[in-house]
Amino acid sequence: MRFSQCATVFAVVFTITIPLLAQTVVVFPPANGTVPNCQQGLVTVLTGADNGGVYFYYGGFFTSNAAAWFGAGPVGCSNFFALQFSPKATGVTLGLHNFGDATTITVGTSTGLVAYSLPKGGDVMITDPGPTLGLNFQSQDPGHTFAITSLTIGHQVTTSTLEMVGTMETPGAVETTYTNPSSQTTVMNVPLGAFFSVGMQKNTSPLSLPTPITTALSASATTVEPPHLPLSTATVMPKVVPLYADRTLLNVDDASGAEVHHFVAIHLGTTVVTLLPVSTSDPAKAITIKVSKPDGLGSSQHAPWDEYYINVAHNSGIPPQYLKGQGRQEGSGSSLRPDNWRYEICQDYETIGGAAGLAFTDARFIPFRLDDAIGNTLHETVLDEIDPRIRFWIKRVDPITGLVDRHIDDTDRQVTAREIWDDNDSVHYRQNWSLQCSGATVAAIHSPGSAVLNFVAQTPTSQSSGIQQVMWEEASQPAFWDGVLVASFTGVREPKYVFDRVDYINVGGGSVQIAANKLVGFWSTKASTFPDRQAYTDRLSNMFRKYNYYWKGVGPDSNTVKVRYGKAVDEWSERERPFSTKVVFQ
Amino acid sequence: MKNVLILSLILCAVPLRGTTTAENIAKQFFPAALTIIGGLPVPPSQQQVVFATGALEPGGPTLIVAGYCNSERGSIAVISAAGTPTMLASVMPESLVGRHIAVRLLDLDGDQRLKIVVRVDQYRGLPGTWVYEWSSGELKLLGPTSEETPGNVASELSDATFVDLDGDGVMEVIDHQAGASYDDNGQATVANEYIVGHVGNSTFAPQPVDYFGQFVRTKATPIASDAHFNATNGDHPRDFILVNGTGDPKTRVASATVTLNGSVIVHASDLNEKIERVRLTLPSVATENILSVELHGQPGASVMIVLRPQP
Repeated sequence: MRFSQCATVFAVVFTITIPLLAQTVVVFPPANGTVPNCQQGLVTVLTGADNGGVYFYYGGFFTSNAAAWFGAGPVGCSNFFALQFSPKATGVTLGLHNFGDATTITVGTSTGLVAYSLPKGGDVMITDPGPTLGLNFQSQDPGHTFAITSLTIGHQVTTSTLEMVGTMETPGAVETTYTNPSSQTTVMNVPLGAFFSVGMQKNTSPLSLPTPITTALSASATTVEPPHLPLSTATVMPKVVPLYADRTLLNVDDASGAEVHHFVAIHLGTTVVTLLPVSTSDPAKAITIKVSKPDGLGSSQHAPWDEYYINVAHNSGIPPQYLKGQGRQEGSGSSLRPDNWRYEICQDYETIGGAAGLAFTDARFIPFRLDDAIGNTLHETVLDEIDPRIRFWIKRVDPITGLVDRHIDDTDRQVTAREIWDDNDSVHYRQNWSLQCSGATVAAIHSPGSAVLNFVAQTPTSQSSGIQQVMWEEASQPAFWDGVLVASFTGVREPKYVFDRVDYINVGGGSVQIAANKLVGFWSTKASTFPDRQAYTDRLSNMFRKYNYYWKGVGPDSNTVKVRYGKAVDEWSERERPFSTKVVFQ
Repeated sequence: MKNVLILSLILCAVPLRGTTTAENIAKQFFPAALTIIGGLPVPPSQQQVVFATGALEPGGPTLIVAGYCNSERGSIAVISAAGTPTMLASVMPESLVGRHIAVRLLDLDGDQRLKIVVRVDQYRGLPGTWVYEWSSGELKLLGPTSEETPGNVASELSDATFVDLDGDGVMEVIDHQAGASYDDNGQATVANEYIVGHVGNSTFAPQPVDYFGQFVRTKATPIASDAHFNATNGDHPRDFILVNGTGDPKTRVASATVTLNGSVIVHASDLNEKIERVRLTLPSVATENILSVELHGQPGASVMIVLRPQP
């Protein structure tokens, strides 16, 4: 009985410091070995007091003299082992024995380090009233055999705290987790467009994981900010067709009771949500989720585009990263350019400039018909009126130099679609229309002697323009656009104002709000709760696909697998996530 | 003769009680659910109504198949004009989007059951093609289809051409899909592909096509038209199929000379108005190819050419 001489002393100490009835004996597992075979890191976890955990590190269990021990020795061990308690422990006692030659063993306790000089076979009882996170034991001699036994613990109960926990996506990171004491939280700040979650958890110990609390969610008192001008410099509010105009958040999970509740922020404003614990008796917690403008989107092409996209996104209820993602998809080299422009020659042939086309029959097109409109609504040298076509080449006879292959000029007249096709489809500007137009159209155009393109190219109205590449046939519809304010005239609709120059945006122009208004018309459900995030983003992706339904090409994430337009926009949106430096929980 | 039969069925889709009557009947059923943005009804001036008439099944009544569009999305209806006009069925798929709609009736399978082929032109990019079967009083969408969101079943056919390539009376569908991307200079790179398969209820196992093109004889003096295409695995044998005309013998060319990379593969004497199609096996093709086609015959006559890897 190695401790027989000390037993009385221990009993005295024990009765003084901790009530006997409160002690819990930690039963060491049976071990076959007679010397410790150490493991690095965590060896095992045993049940302590009050169902708390006792974590054993760096040592090994063994049996000696019919008693179970945990300690260090020469086999795979360092000269160190440790215990940790979760939650913190009070009233800890244990016996320490020196199996080797005389040495000094240092014990770390809640009150500090205590060095024990023990002879060979020497024992000492260690007590730590706690509360303590753990104890550690270190011999001054490497490979030395020393161990503990008879571990008892008074209690392992600490005062738990309620925390708010939230997650949010940020550019370049899948998800970041934020916590804040519930008692100190009244507001959760989220940037517009963010996919985020909010929940409650109980924190009982820094050593153990917090315990999530299942809560029921209710939302109330939503305030949506009024529509924002697209730029801070703008003075005219464009026509806005909103989705979910009375909501700042959409639920993207369908769990009525869940440990976390997932949302996407779709409008600027505030919504008060109340989390009512259903798995515990903790009190309900109401916080205000404040949706604010992000500091930016993605990692590039910020000004002025981010402000523009964020404002339109708020107006429309479409996450800004998706709108910017669409702009990247439509850009040349994925660049956002205010004068992004393409001549849609096949549409010109099929519906606009060709025989009985809209240029001759539709009041939205007739005023801008080339060449009749030159000098009236379209002017030489005026930006964005006739000049977008100057990027194309034509072959014309010069009276002096003969046939010249050159760029189109504003002063050129009777520039036909045929001239543009022949000199820009597979040469010069290489638009490759012959690969993108329908087979019937290409066959008609390519037939020997074909005259189907022998009409004046209606480049101002058979155009897709601006960073979202809006067609004039769309922009000219009152359902999507009210026009601009020019010289005290409201409702001015001219093709050039669809470009995204700041001057045009300021007076009600620009392609982004027009495109967003059109997209809203493609939204396919009135549901405001979605089973999960995927169900919501699938809807978004399908909505964007309807903008260019049969496009199938290379998205940003792959050069080999061709994707649909909606998927390509979705992939771009991942690169344009909103970010904010605001403190999440306040 | 198979193509002749197909065309005759199309021509048999004659108006019921006159075009005006059928058109007026179709207009009566413009769907109220097909609204403009904001849920407002489509003004009559903006209502697109197209129609075709025919017996959708052998011995069945002549029916009106109407297509409706509000410049953003479309709807299809089958209407009986017998007695008081009655709408027998209609569909307004969520993804039947586009700026303009057209319908026609085609016997795709040579069984005298007319399929409803719907084309929706888009504001941007290629058109879409939706094929419906009239079955047990319902409109059944034929594949290939997708369902990107619950219940949103949509056709995945885009710029589809229906043609009987092998002369078995069943039309193949050659589908053209494309998507352009633009570089910093605004120059376009086009992901462009053609596939061939059969429209079906549940399965659509398309095969790749190296080249598909239509060539039309015009009034101009015949000259060769060149088409460029790339091919992979060029050492693998190819099927070369030339289909003369679009079904009506009057649409066939009198002769054609076709060269591939400068070598004549179809001589002028290989084709005349009585020959529906020419099929050849080419032992190989190059990585980059030039197909040259010169047509002779009546203006408006045409050929379709398909080059595809042999199975």
